[in-house]
Amino acid sequence: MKTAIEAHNLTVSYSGKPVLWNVDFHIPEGKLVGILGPNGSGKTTLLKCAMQLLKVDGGFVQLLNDDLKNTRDKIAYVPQRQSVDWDFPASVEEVVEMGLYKPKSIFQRIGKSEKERVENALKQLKIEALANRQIGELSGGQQQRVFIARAMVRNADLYILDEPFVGIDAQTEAIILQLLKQKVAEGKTVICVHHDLKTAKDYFDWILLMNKHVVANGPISEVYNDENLDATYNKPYDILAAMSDRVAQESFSIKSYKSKRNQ
Amino acid sequence: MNSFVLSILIGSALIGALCAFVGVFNLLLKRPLIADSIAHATLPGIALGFLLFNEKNILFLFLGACITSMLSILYSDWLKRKSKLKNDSIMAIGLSTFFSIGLCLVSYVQNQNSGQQTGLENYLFGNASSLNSLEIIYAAVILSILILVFIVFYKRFQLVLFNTEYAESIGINSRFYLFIISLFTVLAIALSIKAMGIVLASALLISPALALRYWRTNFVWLFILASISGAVVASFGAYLSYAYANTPTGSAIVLSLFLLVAFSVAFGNSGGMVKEYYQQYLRKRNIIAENALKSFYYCDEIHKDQNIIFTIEQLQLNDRIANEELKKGLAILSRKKAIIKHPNGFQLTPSGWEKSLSLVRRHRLWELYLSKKLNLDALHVHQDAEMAEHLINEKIEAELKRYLDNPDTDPHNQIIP
Repeated sequence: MKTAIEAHNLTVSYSGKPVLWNVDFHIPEGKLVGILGPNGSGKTTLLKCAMQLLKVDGGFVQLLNDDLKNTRDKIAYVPQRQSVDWDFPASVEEVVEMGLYKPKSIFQRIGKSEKERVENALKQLKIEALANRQIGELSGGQQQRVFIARAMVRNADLYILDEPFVGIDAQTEAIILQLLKQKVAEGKTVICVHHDLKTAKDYFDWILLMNKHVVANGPISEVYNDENLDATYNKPYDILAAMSDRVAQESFSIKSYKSKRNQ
Repeated sequence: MNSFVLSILIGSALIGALCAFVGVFNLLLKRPLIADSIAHATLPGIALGFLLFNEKNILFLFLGACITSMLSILYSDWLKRKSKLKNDSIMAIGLSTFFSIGLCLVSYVQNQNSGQQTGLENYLFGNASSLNSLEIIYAAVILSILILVFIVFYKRFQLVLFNTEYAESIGINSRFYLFIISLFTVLAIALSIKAMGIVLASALLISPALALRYWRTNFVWLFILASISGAVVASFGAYLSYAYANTPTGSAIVLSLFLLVAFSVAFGNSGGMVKEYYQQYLRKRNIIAENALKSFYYCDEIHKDQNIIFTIEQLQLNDRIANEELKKGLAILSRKKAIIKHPNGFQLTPSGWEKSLSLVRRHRLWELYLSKKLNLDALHVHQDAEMAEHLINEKIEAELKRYLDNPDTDPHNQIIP
């Protein structure tokens, strides 16, 4: 089976402090994957590294067995809803169209088939009536649906979502979940960063438990148990957190140390 | 009006439009202060341009201004990446450092050319009548190029400004677009400082954009309208400073800009204060009217007859409502045709009857909800329900009924109508 995402000995720092330590795992295609862990456990950082939005100190993370520059068109990334200013002057339709932009074609026209894709995505998320609204007028759930619709127009093989279920209403949750399950049924892969343990069991069929390092990775039936959850969420003494503090205190550069050793 | 004045007005308008245009970019990037930082960093470049070529060649002064202000941007970007300083601290340091270097150079230049007029003081405080035709042509050319670039790339700009991370994730080089914005910001400011003065230049960038955020527009119109108002206000200010001699152009423009911002903050249709106050006033009136309407129901809890005519004294009887408020409420209600005024009192219309029922229903549903589901003592629920009854809409009411299992009575054992 092909690999959707894999990481090998991945270490990443955020403003001088390591957030991921020697992360190593791989997840096959065609799963609905939940990445779970407490606050500050590096879930979002992992996704950002996969999208090459952050630089790594060492190791690598790869999507769909290839360099990102060859696979971008097959990947749809949904950042956290709170990461943007929703008072920005843009309409729902304009934001969803952003999913169609191609880096190379500057004079790209939005043709009939693209228009249809946008309309379809709006319909799938039941926001077609809001198409001409300014995004500042939307509720939190509607905003999240706009973000998901923008990902849906890409017709991707791999969907990567950062906390898609935070701060939304029950109806939006049902619509998004049903859509994601449909994508997996079509053979696509969906990866969600998620923090609610209770709902995780109903949502996902594969789970990556992490807390700065990988605690467990596998099908939910094998991995979702008290022992693993305990190891992820309750640590009497967090060695890695203490190590991260040491790295920050000493202004130690993991990156230059690792690259020197490789030479 | 002679041709000299006309050329000054046109020059100011072009510079106003150019600055306002790039101002929208920077406001959407949430870095309005960068304008001030760039403006101050032009001074060393101007002085160097003068020193190196020892003449007031407009092109060299302009290029000098562009180069040192671009340097200041590169420096602050570098510092942002390498240090843990925050953006505004970096700008504060950069602004004062570059400006101080500039002041040293200017005083050196003025000592060298003692007795001679260098004209460099125009850059400090601004004087639109010192604009010459070459600068006006620069402004026209740069504005045209900017508009062209915007027409080609505006969707890209919208994406990068709204969600830089997402743009990067689909492979768009956001740094390129951010660089274009910085470049035009530098060009616009370097052109504007002679008319506006270094200290005041940032106002011309930020004020029109800020004012337009109080009006409902879309992305493209935000740029168009900000540029138009920037042009109008800048030439208006330049005219003021011409008509009332000795008024510095920069000040006249900034004061006109303030009027524009104040007007928008007051009357804008998107978050403007007048509209907000008006809506609050309407809400308050509505609450007074609804409270008066409830009095009819309370007077008649037993008979449930909507055709009874009540006098003011009767409506007042249970003392739930102050006399003044009751009279105000009744006046509003008869205008809304919820009640009919008779010589001997007031009578509900069918719609008024329905509304009074629903208010009491919502009040009592909320009391029940608070006491049953949120475990509040029945003694404390009335005050909250007095507020909630005005907020509950049909959907919430239906949900409350469902959640409470279609109750008949409230916590005080009164009937829920």
